[in-house]
Amino acid sequence: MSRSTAPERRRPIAEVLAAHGGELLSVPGVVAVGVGERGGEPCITVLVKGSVELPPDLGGYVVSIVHSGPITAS
Amino acid sequence: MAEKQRSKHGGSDHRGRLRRLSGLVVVLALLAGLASALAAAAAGPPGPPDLAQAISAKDRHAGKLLARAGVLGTGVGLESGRAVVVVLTAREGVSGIPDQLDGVRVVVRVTGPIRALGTTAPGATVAPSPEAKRGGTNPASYFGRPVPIGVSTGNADECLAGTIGARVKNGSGVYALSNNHVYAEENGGTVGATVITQPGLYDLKGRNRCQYSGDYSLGRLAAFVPINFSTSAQNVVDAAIGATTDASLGNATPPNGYGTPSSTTATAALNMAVEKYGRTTGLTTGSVCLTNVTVNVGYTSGVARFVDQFGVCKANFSQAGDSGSLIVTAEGDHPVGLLFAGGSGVTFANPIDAVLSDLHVSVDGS
Repeated sequence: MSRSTAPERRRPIAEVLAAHGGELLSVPGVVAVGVGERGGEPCITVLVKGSVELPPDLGGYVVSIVHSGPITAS
Repeated sequence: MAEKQRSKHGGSDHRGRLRRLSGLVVVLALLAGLASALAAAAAGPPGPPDLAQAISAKDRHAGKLLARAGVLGTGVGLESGRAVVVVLTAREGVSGIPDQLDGVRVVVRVTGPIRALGTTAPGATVAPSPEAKRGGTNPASYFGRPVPIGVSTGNADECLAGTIGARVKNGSGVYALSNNHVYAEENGGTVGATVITQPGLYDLKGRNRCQYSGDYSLGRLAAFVPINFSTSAQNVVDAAIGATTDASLGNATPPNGYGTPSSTTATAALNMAVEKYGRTTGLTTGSVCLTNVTVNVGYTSGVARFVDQFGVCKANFSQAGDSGSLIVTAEGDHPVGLLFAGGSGVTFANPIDAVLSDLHVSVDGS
């Protein structure tokens, strides 16, 4: 509490994904989540069908939305 | 992705109870405005003191808040003219969010469930692509024995076509590797009895279409990893093997493919250059764009959640019928994954090491 404004340390992205992946997948329209890359930086990639609005970042990582449509094993 | 005669995945799973949420956009716009106001204030007169306090409270506690199940994001906003810490949640009633942080009020905004509009089913191409046929080889056709890997396969009970991923072995045992949903009928197959075929019966021509005859047999189902059809499951592989012989199955792709895979596997990593050879699209190349993937995959039997998958984001890296293909590194042809699912512009694969260890086999490669 007494610590001053040290830069926020991010948790490893796999940990952030493990903590929030289930929640993201519970949002209607979200079909997959994973670790991707955007602009050379690791990001949380969320694959969606239809139109889904999500926060722009999560745990300090950019949330990148990809319109994959439904994922099938067909 | 096995090509099936009947449509398997037409059903959309839209839920009626969808909540439109424009609030998030408003909050975000507000945050952006505040950020620029603050930046401007830094150079001139000091900004509102409570805003700086809210930002510092948010920064200090964001990690802890974001670790809570149900919390999707944090930010700073204005409420009745006062700066507040905003916590974005996936649903109502997320527990453990304090009323205030370091003396700054906390406001919870529910950003989900959000709105999902129409689904667009990925196009399924029945005929092999021109690329697949280039060089005079059509991977969807019947091949004389021993057949190459990377070509059409299936089982005698279903009219479908998938791909032989690789020849794998266990001691003196020789097997064809593909998906559970290609060889084992989504858990419905019988080990020791279900016949595996080349080509898949879907690819037979004319009157013979979908009609099994002994000429097409490659062997019998030897083992499969059951798929748990649940969105709370932790499936890792969609895999099965059929017992066969060196006389029935070779270990290289047709001449227009990458050849014989290495027997040494590799682990998928972001930007790794990969390729595959499959029944529908033949030889295609791409790179790994997703790791640590959790994905809900639609099957005939229902939706199954898979974890620890990887993705290749490239249009037409695979299409229906390429299921079961082995994904290998572009350099060295080291096996990386077993292709099993896809959406528009993205292909998913199981990590090959999990496939091989679950089935107690190794790649019979070079």
